[in-house]
Amino acid sequence: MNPFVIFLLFVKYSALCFGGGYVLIPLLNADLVGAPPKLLTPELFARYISIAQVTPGPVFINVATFVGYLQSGFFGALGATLGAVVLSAPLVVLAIKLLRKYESSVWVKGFFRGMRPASFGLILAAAWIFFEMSVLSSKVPWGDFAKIAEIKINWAGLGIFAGAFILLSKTKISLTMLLIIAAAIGAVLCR
Amino acid sequence: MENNTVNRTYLEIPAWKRDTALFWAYFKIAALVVGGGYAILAAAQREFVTRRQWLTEDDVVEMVTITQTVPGIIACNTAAYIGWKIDGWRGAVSAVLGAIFPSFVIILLIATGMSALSDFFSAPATRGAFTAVTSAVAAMVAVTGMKMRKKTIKNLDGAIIALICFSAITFFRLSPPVMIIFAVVAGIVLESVYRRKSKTGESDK
Repeated sequence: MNPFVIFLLFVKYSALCFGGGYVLIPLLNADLVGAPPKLLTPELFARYISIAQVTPGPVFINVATFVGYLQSGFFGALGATLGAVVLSAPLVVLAIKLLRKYESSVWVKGFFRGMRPASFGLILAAAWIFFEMSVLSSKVPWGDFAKIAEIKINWAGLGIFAGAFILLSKTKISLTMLLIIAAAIGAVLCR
Repeated sequence: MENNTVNRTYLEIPAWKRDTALFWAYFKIAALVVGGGYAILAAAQREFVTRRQWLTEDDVVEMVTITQTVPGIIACNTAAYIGWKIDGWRGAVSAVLGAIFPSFVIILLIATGMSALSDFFSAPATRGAFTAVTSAVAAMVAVTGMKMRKKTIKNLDGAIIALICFSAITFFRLSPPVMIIFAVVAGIVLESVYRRKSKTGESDK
């Protein structure tokens, strides 16, 4: 496949990406595994997705680079990766300008009236999900008290959470430093 | 929508230095922060507001709302937003390139057959590191979230919307896009209702 075509394909995917890269995975599955020319088997697809999740960077960028490479080598990878991001800046800038221009309209005021508190709720929910993923042994089965009692705590993770929380709220410690230290501790204690 | 124009200290820094800083800041964030959009949002807040003081908390709130509602990868949307604010189109491009660079390089290495690299990322020690970083990221996102409280919850209906969104994700495991649509619709409905009630047309914030 022509790298430019791959570029356009990923531009299309990025336009459909709403609320996180994970929502696109079923779509990619349908296009790459389900439809001809059946580029990937389900096993390969699953393998690449899992690699994309454990490697640094946004999941969808990792997937784009992988798929682009598989299709057309280096330039395919380049095309896919650039395609996935090229709309970000124009759309964001457009949004900023539109929101400014119509800022007293009911639409814009309403948008912020809903999105501001929602963002607060969503961010705290995200913090909880990360905590659940890393410190608890499984997702909390709300309502099932018997199962809740069985959940184990990853004490090293809890310690890192607490330590990071204190350091981040009370000091201006560099994030890079904090994450590297956490990674080092985790490599030993969180197996 | 307030726009604090105080403390735009970055304007004193030459543009090319800002662009380089944007590139490297996002390079580091993309390379180390696991967890996707919300993690990157919190990391960006920490780097550009808390540490560098290039942006205000109001900017962060605006960024959080825009980057979730505009289509595209949230991480890259935040890069575009911050880059744009700091140095226009050049800044946006620099930041986005920084965000995709680690992924591009590492995945290419893996795809071209560096299976050793792929094994490295699947190894138990790496997974342990991954888990630990996620714990730290949980703390970072929590701290960022708490800093947003004053700027985002201004009245009772705000508090209710926040509570609904939090509960939906945490207890009922709904997905963020669904809650975003709910919140925007609810906000517009509330705004129209308040406007009709108020004679002068001033919305109640």
